[in-house]
Amino acid sequence: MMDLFRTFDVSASGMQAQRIRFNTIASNLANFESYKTTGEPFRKLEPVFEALEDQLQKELVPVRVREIRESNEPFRLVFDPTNPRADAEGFVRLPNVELVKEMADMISAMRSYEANLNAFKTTREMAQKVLELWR
Amino acid sequence: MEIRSIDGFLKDKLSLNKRGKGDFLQELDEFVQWVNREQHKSEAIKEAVFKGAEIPLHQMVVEFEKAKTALNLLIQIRNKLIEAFQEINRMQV
Amino acid sequence: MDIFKGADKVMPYLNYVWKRHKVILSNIANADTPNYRTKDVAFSLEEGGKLKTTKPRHIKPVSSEDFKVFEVRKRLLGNDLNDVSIEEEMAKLNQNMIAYEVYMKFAKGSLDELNNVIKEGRQ
Repeated sequence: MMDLFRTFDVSASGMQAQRIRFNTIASNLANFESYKTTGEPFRKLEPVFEALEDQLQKELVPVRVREIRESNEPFRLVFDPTNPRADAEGFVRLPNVELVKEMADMISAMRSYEANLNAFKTTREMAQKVLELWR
Repeated sequence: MEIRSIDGFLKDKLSLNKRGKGDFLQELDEFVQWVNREQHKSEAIKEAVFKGAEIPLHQMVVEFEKAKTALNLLIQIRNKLIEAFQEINRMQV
Repeated sequence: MDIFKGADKVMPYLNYVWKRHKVILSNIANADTPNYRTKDVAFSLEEGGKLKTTKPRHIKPVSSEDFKVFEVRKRLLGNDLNDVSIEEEMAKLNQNMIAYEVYMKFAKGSLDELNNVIKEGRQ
C-alpha cells in the first residue's frame, strides 16, 4: 500500500511543481512593468526543476522545485527621455519579462499539469480495478 | 472356475502401497501444512502492510486470494472426508 | 501442491507492468526537468541469476530487480536537454493500464477457476 501511495506522490510532485511554475508566471505577468523598492526593474522569476531519484526504487523519480531564481536576461530598453527613470541617454529599463514567452510558458505549464493529473487518475483507476477484483 | 483367495493379491497391493509415498494420512498432513503456510504468508503480508512495507497492490491481492483458495480447498476436503466417514458409519456390517 | 501455477505465471508480468507504470509517471512528472532523460523498463524473465528453485514450492526468483530501469536516450532533445514526449508517455500510460488490467484478470481468473472447481460449480 505504501508502494501505491508513493506512486501517487510522484504525480502529485509533478502537479505541485507545475503549479509553482504557473504561479511564478502569474507573478511575472503581474510585474510586467514593476520596479523594486531599490529602483531596479523587476527581474523575471523562474523555477528550477530537479529530478529526485529514489534510492530504494529507481523507477520512482519525483520532481521538486529546487529554487526560484531571478533571470539574468537583459532588461527591456525603451527610449523615453521624458520618463523620470530614464538614464543619461534617454533609455528606460523595463523588467525582462516577455509577454509572448510567458504566455507560451503558461500553456506549457497547464498542459504538463493536466498530464500529471491524468496520470494520477490512471493510477487511481488501476488501483480501483484491482480492488474491485478482490472480493 | 477356480476360486482363488485374494489374500496374495491384496498383500501385493498393500506392499506396493507402502513402497510408494502414498500414505494417506501423511499426504493429508502435508496438505494441511501447506494450507497453513499459505495462511501464514498472507498474515505476514498483512503485518508488513501495517508496518508500511512497499508491497504492490496486485501482489497483496493475489496472495490473499491464494490463501483463501487454499483454505476453501481444505474445507472442501474436510467435508468430503466427513461425508465418507458417515457413509462408512452407516454401512451395515 | 502447485495449484497456483496459473496465477504465479502472471505475477512477473504484473510486476513488470506496475514498475513500468511508475516509470511512466516519473517521465510525465519530469517532462520539464532540465537534463532529465526518458526512462523505460526492460523486461527480462531470467531465472534470477544464481538462485535456483530446488523444490517446486520455492518462490521463483523473479524479483522486480530483474526489470532494469534504463534511459532511452532519444536523438531528439529539447533545449533543456530533456527528451520526454508527453504524448508518447500518455500513450504508453494507457497501453500499460490496459495490460495491467488484463494481467490482473488473468491472475484472478485462474484463481476463480480453482475456486469454482473446489466448490463443484456451486456458488
